[in-house]
Amino acid sequence: MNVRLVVHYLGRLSTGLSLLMIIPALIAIFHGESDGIAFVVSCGISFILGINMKMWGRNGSSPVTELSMHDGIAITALGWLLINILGTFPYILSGHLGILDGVFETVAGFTGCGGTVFPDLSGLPHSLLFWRSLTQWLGGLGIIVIFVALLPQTGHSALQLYQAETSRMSSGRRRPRLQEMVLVIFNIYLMFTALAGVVYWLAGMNFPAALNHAMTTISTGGFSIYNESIAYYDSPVVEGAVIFFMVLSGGNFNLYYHAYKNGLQVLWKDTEFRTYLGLLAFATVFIALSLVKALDYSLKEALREAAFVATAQASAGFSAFNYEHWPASLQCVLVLLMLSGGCSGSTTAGLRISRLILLVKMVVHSVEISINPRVHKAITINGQRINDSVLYGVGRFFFLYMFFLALWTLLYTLDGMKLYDSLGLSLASMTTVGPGFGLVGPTESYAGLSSWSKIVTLLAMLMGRLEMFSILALFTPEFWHKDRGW
Amino acid sequence: MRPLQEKPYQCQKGGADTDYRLIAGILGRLISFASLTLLIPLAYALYDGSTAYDGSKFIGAAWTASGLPAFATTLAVSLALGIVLIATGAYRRGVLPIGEGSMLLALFFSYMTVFGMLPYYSSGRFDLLDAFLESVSGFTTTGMTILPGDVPPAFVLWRSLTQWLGGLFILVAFFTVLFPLGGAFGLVLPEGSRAPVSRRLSSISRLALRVALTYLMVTAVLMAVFRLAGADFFDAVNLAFAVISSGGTHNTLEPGLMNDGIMSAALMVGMLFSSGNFLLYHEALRRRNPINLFRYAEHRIFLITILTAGLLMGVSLWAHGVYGFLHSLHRGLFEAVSFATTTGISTAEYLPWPPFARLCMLLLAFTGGCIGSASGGLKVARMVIMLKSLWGEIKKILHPQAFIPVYLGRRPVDSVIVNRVMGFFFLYISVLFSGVFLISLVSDLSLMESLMLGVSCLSSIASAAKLAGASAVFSGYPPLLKLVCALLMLIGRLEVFAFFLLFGAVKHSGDREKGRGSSRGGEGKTRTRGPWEIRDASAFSDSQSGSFLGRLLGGGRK
Repeated sequence: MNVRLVVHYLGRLSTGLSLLMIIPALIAIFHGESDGIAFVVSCGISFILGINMKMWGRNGSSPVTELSMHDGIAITALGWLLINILGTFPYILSGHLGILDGVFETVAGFTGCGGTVFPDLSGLPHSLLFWRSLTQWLGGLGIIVIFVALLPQTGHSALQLYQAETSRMSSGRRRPRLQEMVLVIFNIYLMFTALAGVVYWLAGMNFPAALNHAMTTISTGGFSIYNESIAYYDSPVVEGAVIFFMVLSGGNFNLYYHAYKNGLQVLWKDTEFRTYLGLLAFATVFIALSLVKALDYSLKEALREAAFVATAQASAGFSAFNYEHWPASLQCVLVLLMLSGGCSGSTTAGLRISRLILLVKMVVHSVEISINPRVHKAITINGQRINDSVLYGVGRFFFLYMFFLALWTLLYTLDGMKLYDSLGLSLASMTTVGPGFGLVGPTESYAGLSSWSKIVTLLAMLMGRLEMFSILALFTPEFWHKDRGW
Repeated sequence: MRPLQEKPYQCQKGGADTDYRLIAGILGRLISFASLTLLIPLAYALYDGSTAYDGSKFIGAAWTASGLPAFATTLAVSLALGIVLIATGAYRRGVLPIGEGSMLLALFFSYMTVFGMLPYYSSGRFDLLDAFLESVSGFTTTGMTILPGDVPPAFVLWRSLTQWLGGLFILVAFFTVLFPLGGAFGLVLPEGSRAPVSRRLSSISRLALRVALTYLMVTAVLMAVFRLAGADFFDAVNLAFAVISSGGTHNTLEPGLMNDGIMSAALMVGMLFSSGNFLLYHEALRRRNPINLFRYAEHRIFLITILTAGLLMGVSLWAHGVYGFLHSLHRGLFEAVSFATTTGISTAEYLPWPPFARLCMLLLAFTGGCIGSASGGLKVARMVIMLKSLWGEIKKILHPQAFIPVYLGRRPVDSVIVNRVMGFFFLYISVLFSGVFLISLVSDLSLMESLMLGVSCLSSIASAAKLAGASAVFSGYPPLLKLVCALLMLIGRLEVFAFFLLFGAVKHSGDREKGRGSSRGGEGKTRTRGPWEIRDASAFSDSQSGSFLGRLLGGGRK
């Protein structure tokens, strides 16, 4: 591991964050809020730290240096830790939250979980509300950059399909190539956010609300500036706009890049994207019909509620309707949506549709092959053959995901939390959706959790967000021994 | 995914046709054997009726009350069917093809569910669906029950007997059909052990007999132990049947006895024993040397897991003030054993228990016992293989080209098997999830209740349903829910993957045999010994990866 290079990158990250803190500071000044001081101080701390780290690490960095796997993982994991610590300062310095709650809110922001510990958002200053949304937006951007450009192989997803040239180099990433990809993806991300902002504004939100919600939609975060979340508007037009952008942000950003270059038909040709839309449509129709049948909704109301909840649970986790009174079979559908999340290369943190497709194909294939042993048939997605090791990686990813879900649930119950609440919380935090079941249901916030549950939730959010393996790799002895092994 | 019909080699259809007469012959024998076990409840009903007879009226009335006609009719019908099948069938020597074996197993399992429900149904006390579910739940050793307290004891005996038969048949099926079909993946035997698996009919029947004898012997020992521990004879018999098969229904036993130290110790030992690998028991008995029982990694891990979980649960029970300290430890250990072995033999109400303990029990039930036992669940060895392979996967991120083997005990696990276990896990979770969805769709159970009921059906442990308050007595369930439960139980009993393989293999037996015949043509030497005769564990993994499992996951030879 090239320590200086890693520190250099972390320094750049820190400096970048400090510059972004200027925006809420300006908002505070504009609104005449006293919280501006907190942002200025936080900005100063981050900037000084960042500049020092950059200077110290400067020697290790030159344009031709290759980022090894070790470096990539170190930057990812340590960078997330650093950002989360620095992002906590505004909350603590402004005196709105204690240390644990501050860290929690920051992590919930950067991981895009969207579970807030503020029991009441109405009294908060504009600057802090903006900062919350900004952390989500940055977190979403970061995660796309990491898993599209930096560490695609830790994701074991179909991401590699769109970048044949990079997937062949499994051990290193050339930085010029990396920078080009990051730039393109950043532009798409920015464009979507701007578009969402404008559409929200036209749909009836005021300007700050439109901006905040646009940022948290595109990052599939789900923070809102209102206690009632989207239910505040109670308007089908706003809901429709939010649904559209939630669906969009659950798609693969890499695919959008290709669609931008090669035309929109690329979207429809993509198996994962089709399945994603199909799943959402199916869930919406199924939920709507069940609601009509079981709870005597009118079809129109049922469709409105079903479409919003289904999309929200698969991606951003905004809440506009209470689904706690729904029949258990619909809750099952919601669990499935939460678990599957969006497409690979999106900002959602579920299993991802492409992995589920691969897993299903794997099982069908193995049954088929064992019935007809002479058949040699490859597993393909989008007509491209999937490497065996990728498949097995997906299998292990699935097991690890389930393992962690069970582990978090077990840890929650240690505190005496009810089984239903524990399972709901574990799902909501691991998939970073936000609203779950029971204690953290759609009408609840995370403010009522005990300290122990908050710590477990922190871990769960980070694990889910960083796809587990890249964090776990930090804990292997090999990682810290430079000259060991291969 | 292209439909199956497009496969090129299917044009070669023809050649090896399914040997229906062979199937009929073997099926007839099995059915006759199963029918003969009816003599036990029959005799008991006779005895029960005779003792209840007060000499006032015709003795037939007393016998009818004790259920004699129901058993007699079933015995007659079933035995007649068995004899007809034997007469029409042709038993021959040679190899039992996979396709025929699978069809046999599928037919026999279907028959058993009907056979098991006949006494209940013909007694006129239950409707058809209830009788069917009672029978399925018995044969899958789930132990979900409907029998009211006032039913004649002969029916209680029959219920225990169906569990016992279910345990026996799943063991025999495992070693004779499921193992060669690839259902034993994850089994890693210690050095010096061999799996006596063969496709030759003579070996199969010999093996089946040995497994049955081992099973019978253990049952007899358990009966004696329970009798000595204080249960009366009838209870001891029922308990032994329920414990050895990991079925666990036992509402004849008075609850006080369960808290008795000696009795619960006997029960725990019996349950643990029933969840071990019967292959190793059989071997230990034959060689009069039990050393491999302890050298077998799965056994060790199983025991350690149960002990840890039991103590944790005990502490949790104590900390929440449910029981006193020692009583908590006792209950914790007992429930850990009872759930991990998927027996579920307890009358406790779990709802007041702390969530941590309940979740532990659920996870234990989900994992289940060891491969090659009558217990349900995912099986310990597979869980361990998956956990261990994660470490390799984490290292692989740092060293993408590395090959990191998984060890179980001191034996390496073939990477093809590791991957197959992973696929199996996804299938298992998918089936569980679909099951929970269906359960919640056809009933008004809550999400947690559906989840617990799903796990309890799939892992064949009825008591798991009680963890969230759903009843383990299915009499109040809507009819569709009963059907879903029965289906889940059957899928779970055949270990999910084997269930799908089984029906696939039945469907394609003709093509399959044709394909195998030509591919095996050149290997004269292997063929005379039978390709499925596996000498030891290393040969097992090698030959499997080369011939069968290797193809299973897309030509895993690297």
